[in-house]
Amino acid sequence: MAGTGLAEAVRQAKGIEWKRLEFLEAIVYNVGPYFLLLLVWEGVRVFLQPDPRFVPDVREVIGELIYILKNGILVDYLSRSLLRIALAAGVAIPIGILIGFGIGLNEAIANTLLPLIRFFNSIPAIAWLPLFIIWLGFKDQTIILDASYGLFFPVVFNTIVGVQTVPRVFRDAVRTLGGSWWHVVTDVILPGSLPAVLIGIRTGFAYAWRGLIAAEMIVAANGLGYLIFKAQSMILADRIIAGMILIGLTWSFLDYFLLQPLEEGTIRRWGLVQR
Amino acid sequence: MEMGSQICVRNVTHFYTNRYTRETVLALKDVSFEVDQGEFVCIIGPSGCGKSTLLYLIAGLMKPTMGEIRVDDRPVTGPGPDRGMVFQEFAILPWRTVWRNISHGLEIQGVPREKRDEIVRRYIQLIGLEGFENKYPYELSGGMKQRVALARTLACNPKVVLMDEPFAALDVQTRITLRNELLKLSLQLSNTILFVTHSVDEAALLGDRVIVMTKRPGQVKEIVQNPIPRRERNERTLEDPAFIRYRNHLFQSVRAEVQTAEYEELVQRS
Ligand SMILES: Nc1ncnc2c1ncn2[C@@H]1O[C@H](COP(=O)(O)OP(=O)(O)OP(=O)(O)O)[C@@H](O)[C@H]1O
Ligand SMILES: [Mg+2]
Repeated sequence: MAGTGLAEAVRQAKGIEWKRLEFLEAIVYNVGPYFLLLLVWEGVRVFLQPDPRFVPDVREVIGELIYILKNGILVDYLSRSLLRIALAAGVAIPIGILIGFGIGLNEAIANTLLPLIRFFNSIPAIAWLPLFIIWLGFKDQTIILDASYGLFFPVVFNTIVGVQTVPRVFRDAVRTLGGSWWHVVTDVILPGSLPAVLIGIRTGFAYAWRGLIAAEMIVAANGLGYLIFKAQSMILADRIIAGMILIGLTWSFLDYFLLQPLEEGTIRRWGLVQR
Repeated sequence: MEMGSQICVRNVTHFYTNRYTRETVLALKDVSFEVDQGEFVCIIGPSGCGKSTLLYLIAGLMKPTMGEIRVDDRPVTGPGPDRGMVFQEFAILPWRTVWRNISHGLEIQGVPREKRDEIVRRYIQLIGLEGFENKYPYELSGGMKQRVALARTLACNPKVVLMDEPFAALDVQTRITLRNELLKLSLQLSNTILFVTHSVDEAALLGDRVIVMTKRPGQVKEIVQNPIPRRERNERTLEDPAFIRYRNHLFQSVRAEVQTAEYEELVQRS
């Protein structure tokens, strides 16, 4: 059977075990830097004494977080933003990888699509927003499309690099084992390009997240982007900062629980990256 | 064409053309030779004389500019499982374990699971890879990696095994070990083996015949028959007077080509 490389990888990713010491270490490394950030923040407040309406106290922000958690806004808005980004990823990542493979493997496809992709890549997702609104209205689709737009390009470009940098000798080896082009794609190019594809997804998510927040500010009546934008009109600096913290934390969690296990089970397991 | 010859290379000439500058490099010029079924033939020649090119052409990974290559009396039109290849760069896949690398060719050919496992187990034993089945390539030494590559190729039982300087990236001791192992192993195999190397010792000890190539553009300079039959060859053969004469002859033959190549390069540069 061909093409079981990825299935095996996913099986291994599920099998990752946590040792207690590793868990403690993870907490120290993941909480420590944020603790430093808090110190700087409090330092600014205590020594520079800015207007408390503009630079709120840590406690006020935490209070605000608890407040929106209690009244249900936090869970509602966060889950809506997450659903949107998940849908954007579901659209942009497969299409991006597919097109990246096409360009990386076929010269005719590369010559046709690359100029267009370069052109559109230079236009920021936010610049498309007015047009998307005219086309799709003030709807979720508009936000998802805007987020997908930002996610798409890094995935495409990194996939191309990934495909093209898989050592040629691996393809030759599979061909001399009697493998067809399809075997080369599934058994060599797909796993071999994975390190670059993961970089593309990670970079792309950062752009998608930006597009999402920006679009939610303008289009939505909910979501994290809306949360902080609405707060601005009421000069609720504490809520704005609470929203920003949520955005940052959410992304950290996504990275930690989604992308990193995928890396552990694949490219680290294969020794393609050193630690 | 003679019956019984497994590989038949006839008047093969090969150019490389640079895509951008349109410059051409003549890698092989009018190369002809035949290899019999079950023979172990080594190819030596100066660096850049087209040895890898020749193997890639026989493997079907490239097409010759001119001339014809036949394997089992059928023209080579592309790569196929009847011609396995072992590459200098340990071309085993980093994302497959030792076991799954060795079974890869069998998977491709759709050999059923049980049969596959049986064959893989046999070659793991034959090539001394027990205990490494579930390791990934990055966890292996160079010698082990190349053992896996050899097992992977042999597991498909190709009629022809092409080996392109398989031991070149190894340290001297490992290299000697693997050379001796391959010599012993080859007595149990019926595959035809075409083995490219830079090492005169390797060629002399392993090859039933040795093809000496000229500097680039590579031509067949001479084909020399080993005075000692393969069954009788072992580490002690290295001290046999007849063998030493044979080895020295090969050495002088290659050395002369290397020297003219170096001389021409000097003249060209000045
Ligand atoms: N893809 C290529 N494009 C252009 N020239 C090439 C290409 N591959 C090889 N050559 C040239 O063809 C000649 C023969 O190359 P080849 O790799 O077959 O030599 P070789 O005998 O295997 O050398 P070595 O012993 O160093 O491995 C060399 O001069 C090389 O520079
Ligand atoms: Mg070579």
